[in-house]
Amino acid sequence: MAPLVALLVGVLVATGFFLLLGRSLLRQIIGLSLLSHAAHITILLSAGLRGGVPVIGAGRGPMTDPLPQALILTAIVISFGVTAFLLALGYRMHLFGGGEKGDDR
Amino acid sequence: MTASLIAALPVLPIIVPMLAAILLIVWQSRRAQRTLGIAGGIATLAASIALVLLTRGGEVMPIQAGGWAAPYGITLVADMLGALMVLIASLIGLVGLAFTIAAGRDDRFVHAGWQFLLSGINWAFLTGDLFNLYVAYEVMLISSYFLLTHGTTQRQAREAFGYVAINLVASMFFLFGVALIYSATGTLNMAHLVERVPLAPAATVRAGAMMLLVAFGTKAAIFPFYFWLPHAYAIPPGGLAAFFGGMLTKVGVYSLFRVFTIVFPSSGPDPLLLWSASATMLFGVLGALAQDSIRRILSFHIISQVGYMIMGLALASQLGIAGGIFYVLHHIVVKSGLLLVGGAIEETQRTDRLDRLGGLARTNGTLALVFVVCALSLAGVPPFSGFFAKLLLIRAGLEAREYGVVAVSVIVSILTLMSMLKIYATAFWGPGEPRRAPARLVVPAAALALITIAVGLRAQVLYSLTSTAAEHLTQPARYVAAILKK
Amino acid sequence: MPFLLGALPLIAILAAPLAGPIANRLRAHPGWISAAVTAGLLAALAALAAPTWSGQTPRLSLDWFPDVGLRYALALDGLALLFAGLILAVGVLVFVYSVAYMHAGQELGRFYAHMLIFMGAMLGVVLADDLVVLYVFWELTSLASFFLIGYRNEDPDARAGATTALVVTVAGGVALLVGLVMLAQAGGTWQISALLTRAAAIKADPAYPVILALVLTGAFTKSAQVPFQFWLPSAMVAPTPVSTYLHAATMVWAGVYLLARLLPVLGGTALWVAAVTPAGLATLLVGGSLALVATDLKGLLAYSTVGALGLATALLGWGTPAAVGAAMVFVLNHAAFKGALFLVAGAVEHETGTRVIDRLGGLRRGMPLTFGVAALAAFSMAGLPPFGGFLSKEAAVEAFLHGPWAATGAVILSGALSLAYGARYMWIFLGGPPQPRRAKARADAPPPPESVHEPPALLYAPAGVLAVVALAFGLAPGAVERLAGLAAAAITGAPQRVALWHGPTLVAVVALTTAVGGGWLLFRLHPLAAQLETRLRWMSAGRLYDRAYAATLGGAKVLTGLYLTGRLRDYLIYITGTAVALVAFGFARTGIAASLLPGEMELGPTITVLVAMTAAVAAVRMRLLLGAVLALGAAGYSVSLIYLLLSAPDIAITQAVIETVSLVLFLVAISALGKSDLAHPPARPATDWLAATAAGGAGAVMAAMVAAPSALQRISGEFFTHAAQAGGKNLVNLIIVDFRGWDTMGEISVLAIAALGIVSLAPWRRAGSGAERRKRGEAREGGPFTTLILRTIARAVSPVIVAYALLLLATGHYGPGGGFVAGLMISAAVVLRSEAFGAALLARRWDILMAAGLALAAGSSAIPLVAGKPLLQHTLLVVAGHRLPSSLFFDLGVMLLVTGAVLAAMRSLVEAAGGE
Repeated sequence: MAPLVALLVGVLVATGFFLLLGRSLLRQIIGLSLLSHAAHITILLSAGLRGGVPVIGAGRGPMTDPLPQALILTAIVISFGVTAFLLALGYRMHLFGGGEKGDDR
Repeated sequence: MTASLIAALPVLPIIVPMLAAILLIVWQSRRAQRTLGIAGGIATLAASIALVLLTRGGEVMPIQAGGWAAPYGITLVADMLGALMVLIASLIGLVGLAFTIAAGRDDRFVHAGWQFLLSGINWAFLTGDLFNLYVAYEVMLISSYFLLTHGTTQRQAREAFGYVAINLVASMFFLFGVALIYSATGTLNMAHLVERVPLAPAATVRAGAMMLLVAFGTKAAIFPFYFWLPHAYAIPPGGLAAFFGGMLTKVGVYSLFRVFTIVFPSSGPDPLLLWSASATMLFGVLGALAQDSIRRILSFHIISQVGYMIMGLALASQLGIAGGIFYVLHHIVVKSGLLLVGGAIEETQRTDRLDRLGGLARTNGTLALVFVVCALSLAGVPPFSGFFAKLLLIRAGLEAREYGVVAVSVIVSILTLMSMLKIYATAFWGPGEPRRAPARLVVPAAALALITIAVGLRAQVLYSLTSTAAEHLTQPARYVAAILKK
Repeated sequence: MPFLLGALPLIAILAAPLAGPIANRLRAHPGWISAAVTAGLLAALAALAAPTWSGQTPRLSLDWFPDVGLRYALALDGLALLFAGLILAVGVLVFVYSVAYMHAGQELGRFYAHMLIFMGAMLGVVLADDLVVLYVFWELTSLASFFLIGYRNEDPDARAGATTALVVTVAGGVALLVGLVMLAQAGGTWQISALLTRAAAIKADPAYPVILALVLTGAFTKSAQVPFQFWLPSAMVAPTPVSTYLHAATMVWAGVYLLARLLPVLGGTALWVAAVTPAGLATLLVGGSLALVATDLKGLLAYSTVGALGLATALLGWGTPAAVGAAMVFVLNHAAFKGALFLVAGAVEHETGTRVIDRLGGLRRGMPLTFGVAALAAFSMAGLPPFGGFLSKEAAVEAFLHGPWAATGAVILSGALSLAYGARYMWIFLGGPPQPRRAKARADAPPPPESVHEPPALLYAPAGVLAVVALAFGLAPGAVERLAGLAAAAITGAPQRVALWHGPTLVAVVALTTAVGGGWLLFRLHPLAAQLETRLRWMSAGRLYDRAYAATLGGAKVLTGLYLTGRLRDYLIYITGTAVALVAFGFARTGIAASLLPGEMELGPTITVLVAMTAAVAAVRMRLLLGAVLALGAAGYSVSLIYLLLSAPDIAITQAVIETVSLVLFLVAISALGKSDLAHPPARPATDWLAATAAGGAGAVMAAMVAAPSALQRISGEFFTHAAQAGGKNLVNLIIVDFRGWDTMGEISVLAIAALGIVSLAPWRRAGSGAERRKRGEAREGGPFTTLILRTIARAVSPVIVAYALLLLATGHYGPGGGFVAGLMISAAVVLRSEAFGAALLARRWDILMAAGLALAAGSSAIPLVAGKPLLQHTLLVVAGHRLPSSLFFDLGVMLLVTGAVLAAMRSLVEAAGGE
């Protein structure tokens, strides 16, 4: 399974980066989202992709490493916050787009 | 009570500004905002001074969050390096805030964001956990995005977007690095990493180290990752520019010092870093020479100066690293001072373009003096702190027989002086009777100039501290033992 | 007493900022204050120097930077005494002169501050017994010189001259610094007097040639030796007291002093002689030639000073006891006559308003006393008996007598040159009144000689003192011989007797006759000066410097413009390209640790992964922005599904919820931004494809490396053990709120700051007044029917959502869920209600709820600290028979914060939409 997931990481990085290189603001933000997916999945890969849900008593057999999952959870929320902020920033840039010069220093 | 206060001290520089920020969200009167902001700054500074005093003998003060013993929980730790960085961050945070208030550029968002930023910066200096460092970075970065974009114009917002995008890409590299390091070593605790890295698969660790190099290098603005900096730092007003320009990139430099010595321990000078240091110095200063406004010249000098710091790290000797840390601390003071001078000029003259300025020394004698002291210190001219920083690095470079990087560093110091002269000879000299900057805008920068003079007169005092800090990096045994309780 | 020695340089420097204010208080000219300070220092020096006359050396050594071995060490030996005495004696005279020369109203306080700082620094240079102390003072003299040259900075020439001087001397200074550090490393000490004992080892060191080259660069730049001679003439824009003091008598001699000081350490080798003597001789001739053709009075003196410095350098390069003695005598003589001539030039400019030689003439009638002073000094400069200048020239010829004939010849030729330019100088007094060549030149012609008067006594008396001293040196050379002997002894390490006058030897006669004859011949040619000047100007090398300076600036501009394009795309390619290269380089050296063989493939995850890939590619390929956003959503949900299938339900839930919220945000953004997205270029440069592919490749390889875990035990094993102690079963949730709760603290801070940022970004808050917005809000409520349905649904659903959210919060420790998801759901319920019942609910101050949540989370982390327990230390509370972990409060804080943050941000966005 791991090689395929690694390939997915590659595809996500490539597509995300490609979008980021473009000019459209919104597509750049989409690209950044794809890149963050890639990073999160990479962290999950460090758990080894084997074993069950890390809830004690939830299943038989070995559990998977819970730490990467916790890290991803933190990272997801952080990228969500930043993405939301970026969208607001884009919105503001759009509102300002109508030829406003501003106090250029 | 005293004992528990001392035990809690390493977390105060994070918690205090955060609590101040929370209160700042709630209380919105201008007076309350200013009082709270300054009070938060002073309290943080007091805590950081106490930290430096408590760690100056090489003590390591860990806090195991949640009471879970390292390496299983998150360790917050104050050692000499962390304490020094926290001290300087709190100092610049306070001085920059004072300038911002004096210039009347504060509103409730600026105040809250400022405290969050200070909290995030101190957090990065005090955490002993690799992933928690990522979190600290994000707290710091989102605060910086927020402050950078607050009240911007269209064009500035576009520059800010570039800053955010590049930092997000760097954060992605950071996460890749964390994943690689965790996969190879099974741990995230930095002290534990010191023990685990030699046992882990070398290829994976190396790939992780390279990812972290890109991530930290981008934040630190080293070659070839620094391109965002001149664009982004053209945006914020003086006080914030000083906080950003002085402090923010240095968090990246700190991380390189802290983490790179662990995940990429080297026995001798590191050619990769030496090349990067030389190129950073050279390209930075050449960029500065090409500029025609005070702020842009100063921005490029941030890059160039980071090269000197990396040179100290790359030399990897006790003297080199101690000199590098000395350079970091000196630079933050001086560069912030210069940016505040630039800010005072912008606030009173409404421009910082060299072709529109002239004769400032005639009407703004003190400001000119402050500029001269900081500029000469930056160029490494005695008797200011920058000279000793340069002297230590040159000596370390010659001892390591790395003549190439020494040659670059001295040539760059001449070019640095040239570009500082360009500012002085056109903006401060020449015809013109420009407006006088009010004292309240000059005092913050003057305070920083006094520090560089004092450090120049008694370089020994600061050096003995940075030397202790370097010892924890070159011989981490004591640091590791204190955290892992061995 | 030793402390007085240490204080000598510092007193002058500390007095600097005070001179101006004290003068104001006393209503005196600050020149008097400065002169008094200098005279006091001179008296102190005389008192300190008593042991020096008897061959001892008073010393002072204080700890300064012990970790590096630096000491504040000073020593007053013969060499130091000669220079220190010269600095202070000339200083007194120059300060007295300046009282008449520098007029009040100019920025006098600053001028004298810089002069005093310079004087202190110069004293420091000659007294220093530590290489770094010497260097510090050395650089300080350059700085003071910069400010003094730039004193009249409205004049662009002053700015350029000051900048040039500083850049050249500091560049040399930096070379010197490296040389000194290497010297200290080779010698094992920073102390100069201790280095003397290790001279043999230093000369044998493989680094010796480099040390020598670097130190000489420093000395040559400071003393304006070829090819660095150009900065000195351009420094002549400075006021005359500065030119006299810094650029004739003292600062420029610092390089010569350094050569003398380090001669016993570095000198005496063939390399030393070969490097120093020719440079000195070349400078001697270049300086003399350019002085002969100079058109500016001070320029003439500046070039003659260049030549004089060359002579002293050549003598020290030669290094025999006789040569060293001659050099020391020459230093004293030169200070006397050249100082006098500079002061006279200043007096002439003061009276006539010009320094152009061709526009001056016949001044002897108007200013006879000044003329007399000038004549005395010029005779000495020309090397005519019985003046001091004659004796030193004579000694120089003697010193080279047994050396190469070229050296002797050059010295004799320079004698002829100095006589010739001395005569040119004097012609402004002799000769007839100048004839304006063209009518239009008459306007700015100087006043006719008849109207020129004697300057105030203060402007010629100090010069007179110096000129008389120059004469006295020749008539009674005893004192000079004694002092120069002491200095030479300090250099050579053995007692030296300097005897100047050996009677009319054949050599002396021949040299004198040749010089006088040649000199007269050269002087008769001087009408050709104007032509010659342009012909010889290349010798000044100034244009070379200007070109190099301009080329550096221009090159920097071109280079920076080349890569700093201002395009985000380029920067991203640089950064990521480097990252890919670093990874590839690492692989080339260490190999890849990952096994890329496909393992067992499960059907479900495989399909999901393929869907995610397709969605990602679709996000790129979609022409329509909406399509791209939907593709991103598809990719996000697939990723969420992958998490679920790979035993990570907590992430899966969070990812799905966040994906939904993000999708909504993106759709809102499209409605606002979609119009501006017309230009999605169908064709993209090949570099984009290449860079993206390379980045993707590197990403995939690294992911594969991550997937190959090492054999090392993971720290997460401990979490299983401690789960019961933490009071829960869901390990991921336990890690988030407890084991690694501090990460979560950061995460929620990020959310809070992001929300605050979104609120702050709202320029729309200014867009309309509150009343208008409220009206718009009402208008958006829609028709009564839809409102009814919406209200019914909202009334029914929102409590359910809230209840479920609270359940998720409470059970988070045992199963998937937790504060974050709960917060998102509650905020969704609030949004739903506000849509149904008007925006009033949303218009509350949700940021306070956010602050409260952050405060609760931070507080529950920090409160244990007060009890002396670690941060975030959790306990199990027993409430009504149920075990409740205190970390629940932390999670509750998370929930409140998320709710507040989302709602605060939503409020801003809704207002924005209303403001549109």
